Amino acid sequence: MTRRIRPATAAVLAALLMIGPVAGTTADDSEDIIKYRQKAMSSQGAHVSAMSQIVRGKVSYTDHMKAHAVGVAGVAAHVKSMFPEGSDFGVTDAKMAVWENWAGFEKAADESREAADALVVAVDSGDEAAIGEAFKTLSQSCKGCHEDFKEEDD
Amino acid sequence: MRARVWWGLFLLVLAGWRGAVAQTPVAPELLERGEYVVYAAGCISCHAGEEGESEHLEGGRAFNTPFGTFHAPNITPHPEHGIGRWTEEQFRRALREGVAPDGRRYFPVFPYTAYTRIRDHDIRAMWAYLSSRPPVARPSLAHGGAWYLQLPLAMRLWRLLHFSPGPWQDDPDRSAQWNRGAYLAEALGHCGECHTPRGLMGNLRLDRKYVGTPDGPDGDSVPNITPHPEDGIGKWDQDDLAYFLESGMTPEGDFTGGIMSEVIDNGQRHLTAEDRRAIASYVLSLPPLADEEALGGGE
Repeated sequence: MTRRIRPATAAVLAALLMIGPVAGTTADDSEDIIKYRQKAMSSQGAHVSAMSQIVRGKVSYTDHMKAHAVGVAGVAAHVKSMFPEGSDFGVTDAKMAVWENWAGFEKAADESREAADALVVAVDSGDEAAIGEAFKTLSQSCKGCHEDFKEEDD
Repeated sequence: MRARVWWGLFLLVLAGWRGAVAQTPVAPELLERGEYVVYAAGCISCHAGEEGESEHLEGGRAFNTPFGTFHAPNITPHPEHGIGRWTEEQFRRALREGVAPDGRRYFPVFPYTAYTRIRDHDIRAMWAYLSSRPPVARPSLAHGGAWYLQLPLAMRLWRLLHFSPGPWQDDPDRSAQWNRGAYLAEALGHCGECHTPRGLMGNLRLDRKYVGTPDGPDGDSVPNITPHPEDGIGKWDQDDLAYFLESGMTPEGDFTGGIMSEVIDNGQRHLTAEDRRAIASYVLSLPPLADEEALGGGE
């Protein structure tokens, strides 16, 4: 005789499964999440800064662009998940606006991801002008998001 | 009958002539240069509506200072609410002397202590450009300055102590690039209004030029931009700073937010690459200064 899962159990299991991924991040210590996202965002900055040297013609490592662009695009896809509810508590430069205006933050994060993806496409095309433009758009989106959602550090 | 026709023709010609006088065409080069100077002078960040995002300079933005709250006025050519009834000479006087057409002295929230250094030909271009813009019927808001600022002699006394009018004078011992950068930073860009700490009377402490302040506009701290290797931007080179003024990106790959982001979008980004390099050349030539520990500078 097969044991039937009772509807109530099924509901609890389903609920657990649904909140699973969210619980996984919010269960992490808020301080650790902040540290993690700062490192992840610093890596974004390091890639963008390195790319800027290539785009500005300071170094001729044009064949490195792909690696940097892919790196930025990969992390950009995860930005929203790095700001779970409750991760405003600690030493963070994130403004409260991230959570107070979550829709706006999501939009900004999506735009950054799209800009990063577009840069990968431009790099693949090999068109220098397109790369320059796409890089400029990505920079603008980084700046735009920081303007609204990140405290100035000095 | 014939006389009437002649009269009609005469009036038509007269009307045409008057129309032509009223719309004396301004040289397009002058308007173009005026727009450039307006970008370089950072007019837009303060005057572009309440949020700084209007495409017209109708004012309204509030500035909360230790001396009260001030509002950027309407500087569109609206005859009633803007500067439409001003003459060019009155406009020049506002910038050069910090005096309004009605004779009142401006509060130094309006950076006339910097704008006084703007050269006449640039003021002329600014005036031509601003006058060519569409008028916006938005009343300027009254200032909420502290009571002692209303005293008849307050501003005159302040000016006596902290204001020396006159256009920028080049330093013949420096390069043309440095002098251009100094003019752009000091006269037009008025970097010091935010980056130089203020004394008790709201005056800029020029011995601490560009060292930053923990309590800048909007309550944010303003960074040290002297070439101090640790506290300032001493590790940036000229290209880094010029690129920052174009893109908002620091050499570390961080992006500036807040007011500086607006300063870039509404001004610096529109300058020529040579002008941004000139500003960088000037700023990086200044004496490196450490943050002020006593005042909590730094963090």
